[in-house]
Amino acid sequence: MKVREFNIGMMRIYKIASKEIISVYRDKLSFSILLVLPIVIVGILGNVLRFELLDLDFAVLDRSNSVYSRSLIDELDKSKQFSFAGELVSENEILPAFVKGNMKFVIVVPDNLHRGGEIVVFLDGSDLVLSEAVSQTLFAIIGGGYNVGVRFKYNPELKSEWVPLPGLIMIALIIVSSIMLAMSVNRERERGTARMLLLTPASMGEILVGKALPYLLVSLLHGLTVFGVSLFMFGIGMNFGPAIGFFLLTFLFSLNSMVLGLFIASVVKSELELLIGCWLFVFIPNVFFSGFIYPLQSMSSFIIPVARYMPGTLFIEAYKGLMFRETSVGDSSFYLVVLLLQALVLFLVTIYLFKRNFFRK
Amino acid sequence: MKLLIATIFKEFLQLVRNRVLLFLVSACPIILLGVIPLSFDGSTRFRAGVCDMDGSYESQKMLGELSNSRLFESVFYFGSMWEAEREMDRGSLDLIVCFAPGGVQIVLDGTFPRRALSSLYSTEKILFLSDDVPVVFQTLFNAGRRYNHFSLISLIVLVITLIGTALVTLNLVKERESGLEEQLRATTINRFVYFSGKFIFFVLLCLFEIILCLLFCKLVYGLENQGSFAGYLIVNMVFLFPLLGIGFVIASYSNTQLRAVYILTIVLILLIMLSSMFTHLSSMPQWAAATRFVNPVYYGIESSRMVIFKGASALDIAPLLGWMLLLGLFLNSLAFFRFRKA
Repeated sequence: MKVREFNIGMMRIYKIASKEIISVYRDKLSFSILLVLPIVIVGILGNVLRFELLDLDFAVLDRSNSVYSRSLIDELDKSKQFSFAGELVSENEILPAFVKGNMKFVIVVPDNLHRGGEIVVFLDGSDLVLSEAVSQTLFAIIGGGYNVGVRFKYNPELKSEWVPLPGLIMIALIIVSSIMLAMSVNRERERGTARMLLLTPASMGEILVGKALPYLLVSLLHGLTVFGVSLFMFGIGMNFGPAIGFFLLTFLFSLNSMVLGLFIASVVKSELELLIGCWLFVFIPNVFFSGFIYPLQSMSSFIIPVARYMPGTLFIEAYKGLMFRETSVGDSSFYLVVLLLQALVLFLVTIYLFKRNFFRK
Repeated sequence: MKLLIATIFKEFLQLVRNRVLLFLVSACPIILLGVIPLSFDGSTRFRAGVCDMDGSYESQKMLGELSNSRLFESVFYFGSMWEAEREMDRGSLDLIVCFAPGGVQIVLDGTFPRRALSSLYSTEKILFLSDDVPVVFQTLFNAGRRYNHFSLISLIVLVITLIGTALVTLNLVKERESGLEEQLRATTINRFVYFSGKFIFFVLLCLFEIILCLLFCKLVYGLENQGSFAGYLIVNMVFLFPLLGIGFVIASYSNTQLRAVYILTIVLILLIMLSSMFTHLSSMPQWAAATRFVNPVYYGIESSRMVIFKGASALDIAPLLGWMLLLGLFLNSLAFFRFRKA
């Protein structure tokens, strides 16, 4: 008896899933966007968001006109990060150089350099991330040269292609699995077709699982395409071992953000509210607090405990472990388990909420 | 004129009577501006592992310097290099400093190159206590180097971008989907009034959001506007022109809300990520930097930063404003003529 009931339940889920597939597939434009979205995000933005410095313009106000200052400027100009863009004559020109001349920093060399004068570097505080990077790089070029053995693990050539990848894959997966699934659920509720689902013998859990199944398949497919893009474009994931871990991670993370999307869908009603809600409570926090833009260690101390358990953070940490450091799945098991637990708990809450208000308009 | 006011008033009522939406629209700026600045407090901290195999006086001294430094969130001690590298494999260390009898060796996690390099320089600076390079750094504009001030400006643009385009697009498509547009066609409201009524309403709504954001920044973070307030509003009004244009164009190309959301999501992500919000133009490849000419979000961020931090006047940013106007004109007329056909 139990087996038969289970089979019937499976059948219902299958029917709802196939209905969902048809309704997505028939809108050709949406369907193609759904398919190419991760390739576009990872392929295009992976080449853009490198967070490195290239050919920044700087100006010099050289009072000393000494050999040292000229060689310093030459050295900076030759480096690939900076390019010399103009000489200033007086101090009054420093401010306009930033506002009108689009300089990123200005170096002032005093005339008493050899008698204890100091080189002053003016940075642009309206772009602090940039100016921080400038001061660090400048320090490295002007100073540096210590007798230290340095070794970079995992990425010995310091390829900047690596930097944006985990975050971008996370973004692509979040969009497909949370926003798109939640949209399709709330669309039924807003248009009233959810009332027709009421007439079917399927239970709430079966309806939700059935609707989620196609999107889970799409997410897994995206795992495959994203893996291919990062392999052929950026040369990551050559070995077979990490690939299995990566797909496990993709599966769990998609599951997690699907449930998160459903949860938001259960709280709001219309599609517009859902879109803003998803952006506001799923997408943006995961972009800012996951270590994608700023590392976890640079956050305010009281937000770090929250940020550590954000799904995005868990994904990025696990991805770095699996694909960059190429450690075993066991080392990342903590992140995977937390992702799964979050999904389970939230799923129960969502079912409870939906049971109360799914058919209410 | 009466008709125009009536259409604006209709939009207003529709928004006010939807409690959840009203909450989202007014809470969105507060939540974003209140929470997101916490994601970066300006100081970079690293997690260091130390492995002292030398045990000499020098190494002890350097070790003391390391653990006293505020640069490190935590300093862990390991007995052997193998143990330390194993810990790094788990992802809990950014760098390992090893004092071997031959000299100091530093092993870094290279997955994020710039972070690795900056941690290397900072560590070297601490280890060797070098101040022999006579360089002083000074920051102009935003002289206190208040990090949250810096991110606030781009966050305001982010809020406006999200709310503005999402509201415009879904509002239009929803009316079409539910048949309301069909009914409006039977009234005396013509295309132009319908279109401009919506446009004016959303410009007003976004300006309200901007003022709310700026007020919030002023009260909570003490953000000071170097330029004039009116100038900032004018810049944002010009910015809204192409931004809402994008929303209108997407709406004119989509018949259902589902499709609108798909297009909107992919367009917005590309626009936001390609703008200078998270990265800067000089670090992008040429072709990506060239997209800024058609990216209103880029113009919005650049002109806001110019006004707020550098106190630029309208003349200084005239090229930016001109581009925004051109772009807006193109997008809006495209949407308008497509609407006529529909």
